[in-house]
Amino acid sequence: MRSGVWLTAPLVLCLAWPARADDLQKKIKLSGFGTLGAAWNSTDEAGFTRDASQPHGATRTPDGRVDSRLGLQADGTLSSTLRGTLQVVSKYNYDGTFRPEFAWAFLGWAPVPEIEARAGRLGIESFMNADSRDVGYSYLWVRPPVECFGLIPITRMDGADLTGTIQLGGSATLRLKAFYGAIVSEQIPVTGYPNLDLSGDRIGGAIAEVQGGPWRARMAYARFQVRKGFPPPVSNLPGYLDTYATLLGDPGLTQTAAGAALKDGVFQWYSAGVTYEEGRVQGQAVLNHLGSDKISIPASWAGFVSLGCRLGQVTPYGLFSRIASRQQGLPYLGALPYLPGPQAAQVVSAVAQLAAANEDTRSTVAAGLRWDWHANLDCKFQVERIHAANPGSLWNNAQPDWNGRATVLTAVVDFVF
Amino acid sequence: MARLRSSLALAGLLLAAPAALPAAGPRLVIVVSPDSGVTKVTREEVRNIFLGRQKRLASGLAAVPVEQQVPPAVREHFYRVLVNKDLAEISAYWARLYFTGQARPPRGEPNAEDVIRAVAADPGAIGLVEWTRQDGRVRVILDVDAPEAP
Repeated sequence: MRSGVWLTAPLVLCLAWPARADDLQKKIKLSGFGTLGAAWNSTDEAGFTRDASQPHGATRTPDGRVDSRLGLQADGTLSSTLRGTLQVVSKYNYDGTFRPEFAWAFLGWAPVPEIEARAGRLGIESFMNADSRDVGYSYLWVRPPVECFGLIPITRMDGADLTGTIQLGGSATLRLKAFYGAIVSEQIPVTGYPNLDLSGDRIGGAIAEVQGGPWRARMAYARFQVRKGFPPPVSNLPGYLDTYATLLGDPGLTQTAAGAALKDGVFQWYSAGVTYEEGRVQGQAVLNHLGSDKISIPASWAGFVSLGCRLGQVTPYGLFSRIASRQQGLPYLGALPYLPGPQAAQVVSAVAQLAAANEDTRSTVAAGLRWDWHANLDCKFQVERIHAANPGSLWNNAQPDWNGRATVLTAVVDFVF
Repeated sequence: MARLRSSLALAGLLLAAPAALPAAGPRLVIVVSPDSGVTKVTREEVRNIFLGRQKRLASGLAAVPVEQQVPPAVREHFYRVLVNKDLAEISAYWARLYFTGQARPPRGEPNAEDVIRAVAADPGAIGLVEWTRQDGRVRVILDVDAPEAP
């Protein structure tokens, strides 16, 4: 499926290429978006990251990598029912580079205005605004709330989606969408372990969204399966645990062994969100649940509430967001910690490390300002106070004696063209 | 205490003031081609069509919204009256939909004459234009500033 983009991209270009040069401007539209930002963190004891894929975070030295990004898009109208879109995005990747990637490269076919099928590389809309997270100009905050958007940054797939729009009574519309594909090049650095590579893993889901008057409400479901999981030596851990389960005759340990194996793990996302925009008020609330029985990506609840009020060109806002891992501390280990010998102690320590690396329980209170000082250009300032019960996967290089508290100041400029 | 009260009163004023001002701007109308099969439209329909939520005209034709871009006051006034949003918010709204490949913003034509020409040529087009500029080539289906009939 990775080849999807290499097949789609030239096809979009060829089909979109007009026969006559003067058609060019009408048929192809070039545009883009970007963010230039700097984030400063009050502590050097844990690097503040935007999502779990970023290999370094902001500390007391202001960091421009966390939020800065650039996207370029070309759209071609091929016929009255066929269109193509290419979008390249450069942002701070898991490998520490700003290597540009195809974020979108698809052909869309709409036999009637209400129905569209798209195929190629597509953004994954697993929850509200999940597929527009890179477009800073489209939202109020300096970045989407990290507790909701940061945990498993699965953003793109090679696959297809199908969208239908239905006119409901009054002025409301219902949008239904189903999608399926293979996750693209997502790797998550895990402290002390090799990267977790999710590329090629299958994801599918469905969305229902109602829009009427000032309200937009939606429910979403997505499911993905991890086929490869961790490379060795982490992948050996379940085997060791199974051996001890047999040795000790403890079925509880067998369950822990299953939880420690990420391979073939199935994860489910449930999401509900609502936005309210009337006059000067902009409100938004989202609740996400990740269903999992794995220690390394534990089940969690995450949500946020945000409220802004536009006063001319300036919109002050407040935000509260929180994530709580269902797994707190060590999973069940039975008599394992009391067994003599270095091997049992090593297994216990490996399980502890795996559990701690991914247990994310933290909350953020933020206040900020969006200033629309020029057409298609904004400036934003945000100050946030974060309290993390456990460094988990959302911080980089957290020191063992860090108290889990940080204040982060961010300034960004967003633009579209 | 008195200072707190007066600052609260000031905050109240700041919040209430712009809403109390009457909408001022160029008089605008919504026009379609005489071949569109449409003779009237509600403000709600116009709002949904120009925000990309409603895909068809009442006659069943695929809707193609067209905006007059110059002077900027045309779009400013239109979105203020119809959606109660300023242009920055409308741009942010379209940035979300456009850069996720969901929908395209209305087609922009540089001036009133171009809007009228585009609308006259396409039975599915629905145009936003200054009232003073409309002529017999198009049919007016809504006066944007007129209070809606019950």
